Amino acid sequence: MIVVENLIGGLLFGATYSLVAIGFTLIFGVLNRLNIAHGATIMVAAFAGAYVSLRLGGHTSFAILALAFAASVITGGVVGMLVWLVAFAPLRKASPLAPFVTSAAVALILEELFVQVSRRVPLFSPEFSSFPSPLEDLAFNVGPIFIRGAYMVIFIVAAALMALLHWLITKSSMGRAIRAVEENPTVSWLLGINVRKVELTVFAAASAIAGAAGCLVGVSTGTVAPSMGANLLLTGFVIIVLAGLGSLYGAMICGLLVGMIEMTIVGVVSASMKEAVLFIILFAVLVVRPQGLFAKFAAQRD
Amino acid sequence: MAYFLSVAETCGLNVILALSVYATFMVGQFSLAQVGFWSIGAYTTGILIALYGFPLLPSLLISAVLCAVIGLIVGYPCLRIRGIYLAMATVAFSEVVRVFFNNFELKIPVGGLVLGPGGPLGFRGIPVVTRWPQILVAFVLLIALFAWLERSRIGLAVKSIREDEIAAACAGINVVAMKVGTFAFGAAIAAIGGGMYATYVSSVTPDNFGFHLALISIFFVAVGGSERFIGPVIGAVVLTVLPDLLRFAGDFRMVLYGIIVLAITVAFPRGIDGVWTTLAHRMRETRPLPVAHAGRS
Repeated sequence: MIVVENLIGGLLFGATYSLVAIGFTLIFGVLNRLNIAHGATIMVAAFAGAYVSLRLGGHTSFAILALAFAASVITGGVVGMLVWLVAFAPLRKASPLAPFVTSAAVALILEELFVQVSRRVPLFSPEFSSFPSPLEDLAFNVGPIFIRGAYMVIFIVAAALMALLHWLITKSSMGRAIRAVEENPTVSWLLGINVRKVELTVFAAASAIAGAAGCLVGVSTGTVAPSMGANLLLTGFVIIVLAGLGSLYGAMICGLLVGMIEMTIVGVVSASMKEAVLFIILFAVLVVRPQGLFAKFAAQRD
Repeated sequence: MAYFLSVAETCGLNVILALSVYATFMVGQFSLAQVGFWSIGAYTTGILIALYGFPLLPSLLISAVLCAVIGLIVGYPCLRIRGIYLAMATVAFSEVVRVFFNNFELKIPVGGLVLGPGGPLGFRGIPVVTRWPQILVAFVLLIALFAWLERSRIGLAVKSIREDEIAAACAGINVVAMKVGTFAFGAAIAAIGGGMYATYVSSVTPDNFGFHLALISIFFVAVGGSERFIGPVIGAVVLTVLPDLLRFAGDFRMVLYGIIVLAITVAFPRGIDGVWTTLAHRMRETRPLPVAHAGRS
């Protein structure tokens, strides 16, 4: 029974991982670069949500939770645009190493900054700050299986966001432009698509989604911490490689998969093994099937 | 004086780390596995010296050989993938190594004390046998090795692979052997560096060797410059001295550090070593304006 419970919990919680990975893979698809600051963006957004919730006393009210969620999404989007402006826009012609380093530097700056913020702002506490929400005491029992209410809410919100993104990518004109740039930036540019604008939009959208993920993770664990970004970034790495870089729908499915694997290992084996198992799976997939499980592009091989 | 000496010693150790990253970078491969090898080297050397009473040099060599072998085993499948995929695979490797040492316990009584790696608590009480003379010797030997390598036929082959793999293969260079070789070479250097680090600071924990250190090791190469071996050396020295120069910023020291790394990389994407070429390139790009426009008053 405990395995089933963990699998269901993991599936529901994995939706946040899907959100993290979608943003990551979207940025990779359009720029062909990894955004190392993605994790830090999530962390900052989660802090914004926690601030709203702590300030307004969000322990009981769903309205305040919604407000905190909005704050996280907006903060995520704004931080994402800043990351693009500082770390990616000036380096379009440079080698792939340069944006990797600048975005890693931004991640370092944000993380160190929020270590200080959580020490100095009286609302927060050093190491782990709390993220109060009315979901903490909510729970369901489906037959013999116990399901946390927070996980249900997370799954529903995440599914709604993914549906919205799907609609934007397939139906809107901006979505068409994004897909065109993904396919071939030079030809898109020749056809009159404003590539810089597309990049900025993708950063804003991906980071806003990441902000939503940050809020949901914060709500489900009840805490936010400056180090949460780095952990989510590594999980995001695993997911997008499993899915195949640039594959949006693969990232959604693999996020759920990783959530299930992780929660089952934590519940059944031990918490310290979860990263090792995930990375061994990643390693095996890279060696056996480097293009990922849901390949869109063929991986470069010798 | 002791203070300057300790900064210099840390510089030396970081130069070794930077050169080990550069070793795989020479063939255009982008590896974050060096931190994993660094920690394997640190633990192996620590165990050999503290628990089995080996002298420094043989334990460093054993660590280097061990990591070179692991490098060959890991490197062969890994180097068939490229770019971002390789970066991911090497991150995975480093994380697996870290988790392994987090769960690794080996306690042996030595002379009345129980020593050895203790999982997440780390490995304490490693004898301090690395001081500035050993670091200086390693530093000089490595610089000499890289200087020779850059001028040798191997160096030429390596450079040609970075410039154009297909052309290099057509010229008869065994690209895969070269790549796996440099990967193992980098792993061995990292192992030596890690071993010296462990016997210098005397206690290591698995969390010393996290993703953070992997990023810092890439900073060394990127900030210094990745075109010649002198670049990573400059980068490691600058980025080791920098936090000490930023002491005035107090708690916000690392924030400022990040801002400076960001600024250097944006201004000089080729690194400090490439400042001159970057500037020269820019001078050429800003051509004089045509007379008709320039003469408008």
